[in-house]
Amino acid sequence: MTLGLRNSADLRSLGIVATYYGLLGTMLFIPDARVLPVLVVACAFSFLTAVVNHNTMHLGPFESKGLNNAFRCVLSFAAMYPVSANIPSHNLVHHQFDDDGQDDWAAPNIVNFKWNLLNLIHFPNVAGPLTFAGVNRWMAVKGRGEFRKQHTLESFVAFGGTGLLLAYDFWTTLFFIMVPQLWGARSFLRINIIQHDGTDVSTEWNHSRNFVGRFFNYFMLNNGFHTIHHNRATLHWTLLREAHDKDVAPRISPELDQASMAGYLFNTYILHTGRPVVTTPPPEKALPAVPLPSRAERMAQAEAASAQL
Amino acid sequence: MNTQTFVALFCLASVWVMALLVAATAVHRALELLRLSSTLKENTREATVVEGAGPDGALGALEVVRAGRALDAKVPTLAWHPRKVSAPSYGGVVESGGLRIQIPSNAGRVWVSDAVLQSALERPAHEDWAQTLAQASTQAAAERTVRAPIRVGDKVFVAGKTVTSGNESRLSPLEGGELVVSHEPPAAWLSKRALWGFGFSVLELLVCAALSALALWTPAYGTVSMVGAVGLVAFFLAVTPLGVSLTEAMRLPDERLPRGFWKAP
Repeated sequence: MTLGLRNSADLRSLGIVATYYGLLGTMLFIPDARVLPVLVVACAFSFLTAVVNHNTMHLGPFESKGLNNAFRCVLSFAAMYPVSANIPSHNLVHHQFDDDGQDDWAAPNIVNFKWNLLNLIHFPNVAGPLTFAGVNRWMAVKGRGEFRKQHTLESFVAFGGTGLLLAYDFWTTLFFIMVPQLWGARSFLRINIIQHDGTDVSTEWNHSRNFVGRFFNYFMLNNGFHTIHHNRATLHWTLLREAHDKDVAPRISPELDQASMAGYLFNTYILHTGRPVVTTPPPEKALPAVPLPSRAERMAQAEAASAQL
Repeated sequence: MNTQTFVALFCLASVWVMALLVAATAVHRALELLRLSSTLKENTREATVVEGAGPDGALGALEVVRAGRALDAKVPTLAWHPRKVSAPSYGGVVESGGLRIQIPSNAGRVWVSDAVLQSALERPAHEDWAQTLAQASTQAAAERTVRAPIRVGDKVFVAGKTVTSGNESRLSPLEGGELVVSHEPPAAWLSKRALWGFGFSVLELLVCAALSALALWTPAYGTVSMVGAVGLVAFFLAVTPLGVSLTEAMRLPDERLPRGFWKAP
């Protein structure tokens, strides 16, 4: 398989990360490239790299575990945090909407301003620290030594690498490396509230908001299809649209199938001040049952899969 | 304005937006606590528990169902995670100024003191450490239910409306629905936490202002400016976890999520 990839479609993932690093390197070493359009595009690719990070932490793109671990270091510098943290926070807690009886660290209700736009802005300020604390508690548990080693290596790359660049060229690194790093990581945290605010996470199908536009999902590596991703976390991203159309779309409220994320954001956060509410019920017609493991089984599968990452 | 200056101002604005949102969250919570404090203050009386309808004669308790997991540590250690927390009122009778007052069951808030809670969370002397450690090393974890009670003989503060009918008095909720039985004076507890919220907000905004002044020191991008920028980065990374810790500390006593550790005897 090309470059040792499990699926050649992940050339797109590698292309996104390479483009992002190219933009960072260009701004770092070529003063004339430190202009707003380049910075804005770098921030956009930082966000897309966070999408690659999300996919990678569910299923590494390479056949080789060593290559996947190395790729995680690359992604860690890209976002300035050790991306292995996604395993406990995203795969094990967020995917179950539950931290062993307590709330998901990224539940929409961790923020509660009356003006909903402030919730969107403030969300990473709360989800970030909750996640950091939760990951530290999780990784201290016996038997997670391998995870801690990889996490420490990624931290060294992320923070040490950024620190070295700050020593090399402080202001350029601060404005043209750290801004994109933080933009991508914080924007990806915000996706949690965009995808779940107002949904019913206790249901099997109406727990997530989906964004189904083709252009959007080309760059987002089909991360717009969030319901099916929650229900089948290790399904490769190339298979998500088909699975969404077949299993999810007939079973969810039409309000949870949004054509455009930009349109949804404008409508929800600019035209309205309150929290979104899903008022249209899912279709009533009887549908054949979809073989879906229970949440407990999916948790066990996620734990087993995470141990292999 | 060149790009670097634009981005610098954008960064400064972002730090201020974050600082203001963290401060607003703390102030909003502080105001909620002050409102509750004000409601309870005039309607609180000191009392002693004389009867309790709950387990071991308790009038109420903080109940914690907790999961213990073994840590990788030099000294064998268990870390406890609260799976479920509740604060039931079992009902009973308190005596205040010679008056016996019935406390209803399944109504109102039960606030146990930190000292009583910590005592309940400690490893009991009779605990089979080896067995507990073995359970805590499994996927399922070791599970325990802990009860931190308000007991007969305890001095308490009851906040609510005392309704007397004939020879009987009972505690009823206030107009806003509040009824509290607490080891500590509830209004004072709430006011102290509210002060933390206000104090934190003022302090963090002052620190942000001072660092901003340094960052904007002329010459632009000089040494003092760099010190200010480094300070603001550290501030940006530190204030959000401090804000979240403060929010946790400002939880009402019946909404706490107690954790804790047991070390090998």
